[in-house]
Amino acid sequence: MKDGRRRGSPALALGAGLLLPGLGHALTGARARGRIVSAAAVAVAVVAVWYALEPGVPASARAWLALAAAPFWIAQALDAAACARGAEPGPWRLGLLAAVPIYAVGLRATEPNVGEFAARWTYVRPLFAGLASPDLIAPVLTTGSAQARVHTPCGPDEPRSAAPLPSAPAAPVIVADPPCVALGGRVTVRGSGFPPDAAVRVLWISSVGGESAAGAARTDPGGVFEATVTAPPDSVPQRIRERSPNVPQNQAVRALVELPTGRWGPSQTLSTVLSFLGVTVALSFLATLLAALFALPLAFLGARNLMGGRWWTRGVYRLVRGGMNVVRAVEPLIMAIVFVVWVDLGPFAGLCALVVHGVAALGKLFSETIEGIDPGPVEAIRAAGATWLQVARHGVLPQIVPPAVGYVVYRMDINLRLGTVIGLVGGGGIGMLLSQWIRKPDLLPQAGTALFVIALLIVPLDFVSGAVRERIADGRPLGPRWTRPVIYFAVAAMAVWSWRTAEVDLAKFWPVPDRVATIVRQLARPELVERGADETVASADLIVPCPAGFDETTGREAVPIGAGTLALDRGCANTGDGVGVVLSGLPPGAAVRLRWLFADGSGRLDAVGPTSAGQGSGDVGTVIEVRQIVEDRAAAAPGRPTQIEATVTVPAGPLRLSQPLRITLSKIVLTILMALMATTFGALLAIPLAFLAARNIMGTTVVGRAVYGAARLFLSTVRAIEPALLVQVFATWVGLGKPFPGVLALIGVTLANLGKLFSEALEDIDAGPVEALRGAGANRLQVLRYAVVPQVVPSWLAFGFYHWDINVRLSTIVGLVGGGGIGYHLSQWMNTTQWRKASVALLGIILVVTAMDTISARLRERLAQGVSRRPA
Amino acid sequence: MLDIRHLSKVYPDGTKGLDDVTFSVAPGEFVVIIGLSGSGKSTLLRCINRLIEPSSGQVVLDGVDVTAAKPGALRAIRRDIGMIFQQFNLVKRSSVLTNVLTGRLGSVATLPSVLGIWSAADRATALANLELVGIAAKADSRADALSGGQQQRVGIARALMQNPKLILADEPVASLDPATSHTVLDYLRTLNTERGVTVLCSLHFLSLAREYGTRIIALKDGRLMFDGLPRDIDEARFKAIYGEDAVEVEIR
Repeated sequence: MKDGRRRGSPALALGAGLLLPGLGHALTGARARGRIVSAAAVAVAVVAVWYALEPGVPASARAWLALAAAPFWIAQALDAAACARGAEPGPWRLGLLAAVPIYAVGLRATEPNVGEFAARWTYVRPLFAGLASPDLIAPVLTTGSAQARVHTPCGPDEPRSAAPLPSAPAAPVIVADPPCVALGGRVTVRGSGFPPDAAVRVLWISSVGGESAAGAARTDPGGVFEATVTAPPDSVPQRIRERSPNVPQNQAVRALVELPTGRWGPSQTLSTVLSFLGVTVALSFLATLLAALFALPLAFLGARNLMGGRWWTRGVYRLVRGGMNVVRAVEPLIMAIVFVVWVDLGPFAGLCALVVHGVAALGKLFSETIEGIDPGPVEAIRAAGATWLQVARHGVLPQIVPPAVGYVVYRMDINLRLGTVIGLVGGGGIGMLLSQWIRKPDLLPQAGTALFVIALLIVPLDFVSGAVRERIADGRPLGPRWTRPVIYFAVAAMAVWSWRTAEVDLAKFWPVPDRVATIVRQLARPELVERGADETVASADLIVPCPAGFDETTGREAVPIGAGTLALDRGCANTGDGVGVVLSGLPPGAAVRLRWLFADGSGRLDAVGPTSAGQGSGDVGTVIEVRQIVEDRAAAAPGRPTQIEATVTVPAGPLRLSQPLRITLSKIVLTILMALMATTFGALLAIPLAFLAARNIMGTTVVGRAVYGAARLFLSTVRAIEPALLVQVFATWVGLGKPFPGVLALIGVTLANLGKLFSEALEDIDAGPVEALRGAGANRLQVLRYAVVPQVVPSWLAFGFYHWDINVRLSTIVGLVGGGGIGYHLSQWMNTTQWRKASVALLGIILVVTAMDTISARLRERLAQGVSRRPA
Repeated sequence: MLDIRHLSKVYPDGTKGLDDVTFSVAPGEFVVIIGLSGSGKSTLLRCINRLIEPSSGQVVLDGVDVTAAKPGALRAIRRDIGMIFQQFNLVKRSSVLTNVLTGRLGSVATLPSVLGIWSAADRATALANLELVGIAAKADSRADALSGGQQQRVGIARALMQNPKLILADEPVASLDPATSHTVLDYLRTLNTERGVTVLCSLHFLSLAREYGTRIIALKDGRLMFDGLPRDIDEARFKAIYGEDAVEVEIR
């Protein structure tokens, strides 16, 4: 390549290149370069076509896009000509030109709204204030309270004066005098047994449980007080006041004393957060334990070296490993949504999702560990005539225990993080609390406190889990011998506590509720194609309610609908009656929808779910019930008949891509672009942070150490906040369901992860060149540029690709909790139980995640080869 | 030209790297420093250009106190001292030419150098220096595509870019086979005799030291054990430097 030999006609290369990007290279012998150019051109074309097809894109934007893509088109043709002449220009310029149109579209598609970002700062500031100064402790109060009933108004034979107040009671007590009063009347509240010389708040408790301040007083040195309050006129709902003004309503007064004890304790916020966080800990612990238990036997079936032999064992191996890969590609949050439908909202649903995902993830790691063991002992045991199970137990198990325990600890770490977000979709734990708090402006400081506590739990745990795994990997014991039984006991105790806290209820699993069976059936039939539809509508009269003396059998005439007929089995009906509806002579494949149509023009009301005609007869018969609401609404237009309207939909016309498939395709491109933008900007921000967080760069001065420590702490704190939580924060900040908050959250994740990886790459560099350049008199910047950066570029690029892959995966779940992209549509379809559409989105996600996985692995392999290139 | 006065280095863990070392070097000398591993050879060389900060004592180069120099002045001093390393210390992924050019970093402006812009004169000098060490044809190769001997020659070419008065060579041939070792040391000798560059070179093997050195300095446990002509090292001195059980081997 380097010898400058002419390889083909430059003119031919130029012409062919202008015709089709990459063709010029291919025709003049630069095949490898041609393939890369073609791939870049395909990427540009996909993005351009996608953008042109997006709704609401102005024509001028399309023109600009074409203009942005033109330089790349021309440059690659010129590049082909140069290659044909025998030169080999650097690839950077071409790559940059290809990136211009892609990034132009990416920037527009993620709809960045910097104005919103700045303008809404005042709204989210309490959240960050709560994060910066969390509400953790509060003064401990001693409280004394007592309650007394007040009837409004008085009943006929009620006493008009209160019982006497007991003197020196054991607990605070109050009486209301009189014990019954008309609304607006005055009541004297007398109390005794309260703390001396304390402020008393008197509250009115309304008949529906609402509290309102009614008065205040001070206790005397004997703990006695008296206050007069007014029965609030609006304490009884208006309807009851009007309809039954003389029926006594149960209301009450409460007296409350709160005194600081001088001690401090956990605040209300912290107690709430801790109780929810306990659930998170319990369900992630239990999920890890159960996943490990289930994954272990599966791992043996998924290990290639144990499952060689016969065709059927290889089949089992493929099945197990394939299954694990598919399950792993489905994010735990998506699984949690399914389990919420299956076993209801709560920690148990989250537990199920974490267990299923954990089995697949741990199973794969365990299998790979088994495949990597020393085959010697296995061979020896097999030679001694051992069965498969004996080989597994004595030849394999002892070898895999230490790494497997390491993986379980690692999984515990992951599950704890997931446990903080599984509640966002109804899976229980701290996420559930946080998703409620963060939606209410007045609870934002509390949400900030919750985030703080989460980081406080995860950051140290990260270090502990890392240290434990390192010890296991080095083969060192975790502690002295006696710690072993202690650890076993602690794990068992934690398991029992977790089982109770996670509200495990196996009865909810079986029998499988009908709705789950329905969902599975619908998920199995993704709505990939659709036909245009012919709709015919007809309606039949029904008089509701039946007028006196009306013969319900009169007026039953069949109404034509398309080629068929619609008939009711009665002419009038009352609430509770069933009306038989018969449609006959429908074309095959027809779907029928029945609705009530009211004469008062108040719109339609679904009668029963959609029904489709059988393949053979073309007849549909069903009975619909007349509910109270139907009679109520029919009564609004007396004298005119209510109607039952039937809509018959018959598929017609050619097949085309279904609407969910079109949305999925479009949003997948958006998702990839979102991930690309987030990776790029996250990586750019990570670079300066990485230098600050690299020990060898920051040196040993006090300032250097301090900056290093601060940068490290910042990175681990951001990494402790799960992406889904970051989305919640940014969605609160700049708006729900748009790509922008999702991209912002992903930028946060990327910058934290890449900051750490980049800085580790910096710490791993060969110090020799740095020394050499310093010795030659180079300054700091020059040393970075010539000795440091060249050493880290390949690993940084590899990490960047790797994180793009992660970001594509993450951007699907980021959408689930309000971040835009395909995940947003998936969650919308799941929440509205349109499972056939959700199935399309799920398929799309699995495909794109798997594809990105493969591509990024290939790219990283290439880069790694480039790094270790040695002379032959 | 170089005065080392009572130079000591104590590492944070308490080990004495250098213990009150004093000697002077005249222009044009080829001084070889010998001694066992850990005897302080690397520490001594690195204290001279302050890649390691000495704990006490003075290094004076051409009348300038190196040990008292401020960062800016220190960089100016370093510019005149070339250094060659046992592990070559090349940036493996950069081209040979770029590696050689980095020897000029102490003398060029920061901004253009950070942007990767080099003057035509610098490029020409770099190519000429590569020509001198016989690997001009490899200028565009990546550094890690070269053999060990070739890499060390790149290291020499890089040091030559500084147009140094003094070259510090820290075990320049310890990672090379005997034949290549001679090639590399021959280049150093040529610089010493033809360009008059003073050389301070640490070596492992006494035979090489005898062959190339005009003067030998021996260190043991950070202390100066011997300072004199190569031929003055007899059996007794040899055992004092290398220990009772040592046997002198010949490197050809």
